[in-house]
Amino acid sequence: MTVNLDLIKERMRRLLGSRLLWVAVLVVCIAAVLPLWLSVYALGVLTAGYYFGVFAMAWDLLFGFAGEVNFGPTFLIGLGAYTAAILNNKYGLAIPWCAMAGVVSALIGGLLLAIPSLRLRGPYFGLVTLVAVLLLQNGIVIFAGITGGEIGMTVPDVLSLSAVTNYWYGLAFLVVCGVILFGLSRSAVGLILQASGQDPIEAQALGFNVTKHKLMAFSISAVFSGMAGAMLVFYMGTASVGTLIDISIGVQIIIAAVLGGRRTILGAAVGAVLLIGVGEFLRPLVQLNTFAVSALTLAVILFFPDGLLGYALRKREAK
Amino acid sequence: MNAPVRLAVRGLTKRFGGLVAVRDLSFAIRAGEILGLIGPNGSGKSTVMKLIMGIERPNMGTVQLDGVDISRWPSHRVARAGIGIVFQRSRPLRRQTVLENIKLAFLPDSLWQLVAEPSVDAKARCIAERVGLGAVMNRNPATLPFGDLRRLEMAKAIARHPKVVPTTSGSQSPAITGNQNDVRYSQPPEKDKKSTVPAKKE
Ligand SMILES: Nc1ncnc2c1ncn2[C@@H]1O[C@H](COP(=O)(O)OP(=O)(O)OP(=O)(O)O)[C@@H](O)[C@H]1O
Ligand SMILES: [Mg+2]
Repeated sequence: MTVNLDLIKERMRRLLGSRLLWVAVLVVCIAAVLPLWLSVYALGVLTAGYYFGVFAMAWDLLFGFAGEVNFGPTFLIGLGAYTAAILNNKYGLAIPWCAMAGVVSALIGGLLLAIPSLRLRGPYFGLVTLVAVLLLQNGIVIFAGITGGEIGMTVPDVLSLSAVTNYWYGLAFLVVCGVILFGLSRSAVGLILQASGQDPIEAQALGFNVTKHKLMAFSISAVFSGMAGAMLVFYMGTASVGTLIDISIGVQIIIAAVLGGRRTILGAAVGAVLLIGVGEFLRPLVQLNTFAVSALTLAVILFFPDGLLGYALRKREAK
Repeated sequence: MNAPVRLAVRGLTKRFGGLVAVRDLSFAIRAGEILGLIGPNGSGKSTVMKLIMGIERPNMGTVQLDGVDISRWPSHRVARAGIGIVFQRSRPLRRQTVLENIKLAFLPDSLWQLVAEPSVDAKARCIAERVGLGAVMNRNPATLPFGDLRRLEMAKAIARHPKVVPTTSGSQSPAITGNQNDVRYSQPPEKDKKSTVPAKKE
C-alpha cells in the first residue's frame, strides 16, 4: 500500500515538474509573438536581456549548484567576447568561427583560473575570480592596439540589421542554452554537483571527486558565458569594457540570478530579463534607477532568499 | 575468527602543530568484527576516523584495506575502495528528498552519466523500506526527526555496499542488524556516549 501511495506521490511530483515545463513553454510562446506588437526599441532591450539571461543561468550553475561564488562572470564573458571581436575585426573570420574561438578562449582562460583556485578552501575562489576581472579589464586597456582599449572595438559583421531577426536569434539562443543548462541541473550529474556544493566532505565520503565535478561545472559555465559574450558582440556590433567586462556588469548578472531564484537556472533568466527591462524603464531616473534596483534586490534577498521563481516553486510545493 | 584481515592500521600518527592527536595507533579488524574505540573528549577518536577516510593525512603510519595501502588516497577514492563512513552528525542534502539522498549514494563518480540507471530507483526504495523510511521517502530530510536522519545515514551506507563502516555514534543511535550480507550496525557495548565503532561487513 505504501509503495502505491509513494508512486502516486511521485507521479504528482512529476506533474508539478512538468507544470513548470508548461509554464516555460507558454512564456516562450508569448515571447515568440512579441515582435508583432513591440517597438524596435523594446525588442532591442529584450534581446540584450536574453543574452544576459544566458550569463545569469551559467552563473547559477556554478553558484546555485556547485556552491562556488564566481564574482567575475564577466571575465569569462569578456574573454569570449573580445576573442570573437578581435578575430572578426582584425582577421575577418566569419561569425560562427569567431564565436567558437570565443568559447575555446573562455574555457581555457577559465580553466587556468579554476584549476589552481578551486583547490583552495574558503573564499579564495571568489577572490581569484574578482581579481581576474580587473586583470582582464586592465589588460584590454594596456593592449589598446589590438583591443581598442577604452574606446572599444567595432566588428564589421553583425548577426542581423533587422531588430526582429536579432530578437529571434537572442530568444532561440536563450531557449537552447536554458534547455541544456536546466537539463544538466536536473540530471544525475546535477545531483552530484549539488551534493558537492552543499557538503563537499560528505560528497567525497560518498565517493565523488568534488574537485572534478566543480571543475566541470566551471567549464560548462565558461562555455556558455563565452558563447553568449561572443553573440552579444555580434548583436551590438561593438565590444567594450564598459558593456561587457566592468565589475558592475558582473554585479548585475549576480543580482539577476539571485533575484530570479538561486538553484533554479530558469529563474536566473527571468531575473536577467526583468532586471534589464526595469533598468531600461527607469533609465530616465539615472542614479535613482541603480538605487531602486539595488534596494529591490536587497529586499528580495532579505525576505525571499529563494528568489522570485524559487519562492513560487516553494509555495506550490507547500500546497 | 580466522577470517582475513580487512582493515589494518599500523603506527598511525597525526600531529596538529605541537599537539599529537593520534600517537602510534595500531589495530586490525577482520570480516564480521566490530571494534570500539573508547576515550575521553579530545582523545583523537574522530581524528582516527578522518585518517582512515582520507579526510586528514597521517604524519606516519599506514592504513591497509584488504592489503592495499590507502592511507594517502583522496577521500573519494577511499570511499570507492569500500570504506563507508557514517558521520556522527547526519549530513543529508537539504533540498532533496529522502529518496534522492539514497539514490545519490548509488551514482557512479562520472561526469557523463546524465541519467541514473533504472535499477537505482528500485534499489533505493527497497533500502528505504528496509531501514524504516518507507513512509517518508518523498519528504525533505529537514522535516524528519533525529532517529529518521540516523536511518537515512544507514540507508546511504548500505547503498554504498562498503567493506568497512567507521561510525561515530551518538547516545541513541538505533541498533539495526541486517541479515547475512548486510552491513551490521550496533550500539556500542559501553555506555560511553563518545565511543566510536568501526563496524565490519560480514
Ligand atoms: N583540524 C584540527 N586542527 C587542530 N587540532 C585539531 C584538529 N582536529 C582535531 N584537533 C585536536 O585533536 C584532538 C583530538 O580531537 P578529536 O576530535 O579526534 O577527539 P575525539 O576523541 O573525537 O573527541 P570527542 O570525544 O569530543 O569527539 C583534540 O585536542 C582536538 O582539539
Ligand atoms: Mg569526536
